Amino acid sequence: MTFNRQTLSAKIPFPAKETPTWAAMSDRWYQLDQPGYSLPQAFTLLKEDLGALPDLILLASPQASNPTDRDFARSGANSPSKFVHTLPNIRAVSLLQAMEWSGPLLCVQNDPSTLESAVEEAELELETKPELKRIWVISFNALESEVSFTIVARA
Amino acid sequence: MGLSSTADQKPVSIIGTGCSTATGETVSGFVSALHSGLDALVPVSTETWKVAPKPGFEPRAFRWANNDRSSIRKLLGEKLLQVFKEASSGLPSGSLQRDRIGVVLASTKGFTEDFVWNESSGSSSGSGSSDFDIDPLTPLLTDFVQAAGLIPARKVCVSNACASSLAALYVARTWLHADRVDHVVVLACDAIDSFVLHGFHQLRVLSPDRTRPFSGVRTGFHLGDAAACVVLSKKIQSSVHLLDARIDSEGHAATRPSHSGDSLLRAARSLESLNLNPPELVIAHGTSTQANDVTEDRVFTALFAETPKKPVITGTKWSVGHTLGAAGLLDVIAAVEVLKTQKAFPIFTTAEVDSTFQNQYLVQNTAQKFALNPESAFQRATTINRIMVTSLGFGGVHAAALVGLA
Repeated sequence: MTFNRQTLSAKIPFPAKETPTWAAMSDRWYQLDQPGYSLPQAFTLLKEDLGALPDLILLASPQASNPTDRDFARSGANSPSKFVHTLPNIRAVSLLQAMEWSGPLLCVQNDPSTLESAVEEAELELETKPELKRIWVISFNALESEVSFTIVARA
Repeated sequence: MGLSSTADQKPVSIIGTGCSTATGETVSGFVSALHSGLDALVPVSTETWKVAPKPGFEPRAFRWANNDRSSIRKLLGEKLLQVFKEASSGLPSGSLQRDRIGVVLASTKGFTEDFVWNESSGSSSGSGSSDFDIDPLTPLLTDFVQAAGLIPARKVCVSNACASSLAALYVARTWLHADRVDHVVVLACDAIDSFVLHGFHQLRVLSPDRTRPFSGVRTGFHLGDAAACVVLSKKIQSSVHLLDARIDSEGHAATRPSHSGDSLLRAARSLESLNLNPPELVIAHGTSTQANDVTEDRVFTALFAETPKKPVITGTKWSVGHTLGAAGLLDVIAAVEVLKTQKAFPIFTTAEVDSTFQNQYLVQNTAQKFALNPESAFQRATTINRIMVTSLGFGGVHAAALVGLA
């Protein structure tokens, strides 16, 4: 079985300088950490090109939530709004709200090959589950402040 | 959901289990505590904490006894190897070295505790690389593979919050059905230390009392150390199968499920043949928070609305604590033992089930509505063929699994 992969990316400046268009769909968007803000912002910017919504989402989170974890620790470990984001899958909440989407979601890690591993998992999902048509592999690169969406579908 | 025509349709067998919790270093110890009501909750020493607990916060947890916690990476590495040895002890000699294997590790925080408090963003060891350059799970997986002498065809870590274990089982099943591997070693672990204790205390979900799932006076939970291992196979068959595992997510809120529980309901409803062959027992996530337990009761009510004989519901978190990424795998191990022995265990700490709940909960006090004594007619007259396990995770990631007799 062969697959198509298409990657779309967007650099998202952070912190936000204005209220995002998806703010009303999110709980306290102003308390989101960088990935939590960047994912829905990138989705909004790339929405037209992304096309149909996926049947399954894979989050590929290099470094997991390390920067956010450190932020919680350094701030005295007393902020519930910071602790809430200290898991690498939490960044999907605001994204799913902006997408108005629910469905199967996997957050995988395999640094330094996290993104590649996630794409391989996406292909295996398509290979074994004919009801899945397209999968998004979503990755946040903290160094580049960049979000990438890799659309994986059967060729 | 059907399988592609190229997928191998043999059942997925659970061929080995191993675990280490506050109540025991083996599956036998874990199960014995579930049936005896052992109280393993202990105070946590905060002497070595980099950030002292706030006044009034006196942490308690279900913890491994007498362990060196100066390196959580080393501690978890030892525990993962230990539980793997227990799980693989009954397997045909050399099968995991000879056949194609996959390894999946489920965890929420891995060894984050070791480096997150470092003041410097650079190296903590002088090696020139930052501990923040790599996720806190993959090194655990790499350490384990090396220590166990395995050469996996596939390996990955899964971090779906408290639904990580069942999500890992979902991934393992995909690998087996795609015939990429003959066996999968599914590992799960989390260690409870200052980072998560501070965090959950700030979220106000830690109980000042006991973990009392589905109780009318529930006040939250306690956290627990755990490492667990389940070995799955299509090549070697056993008497217990992992019938299915499904995942779902919703963007409702970061720390609580939707009131309707739609996401968990979707995951559970998609379990293969759930309606045709409903489970006799459910091992619920049962964290003992107001939100979680209400949601699960609603989900079970909707799920089994048309089921003539409703399943009975129990849980393990009163016994070993909320073990985060390891929670689901421990529940699956408990399910395997219940299937093998045909003995279910009650929720020992819950005396009165919430009067608004609609389902049957296995508790000690038989005077309670829908409460059943483990020695009652349920125990004697019901053959437990299938058990459903549910998990709800922060970030709206939920999962359900079905374990059953062959």
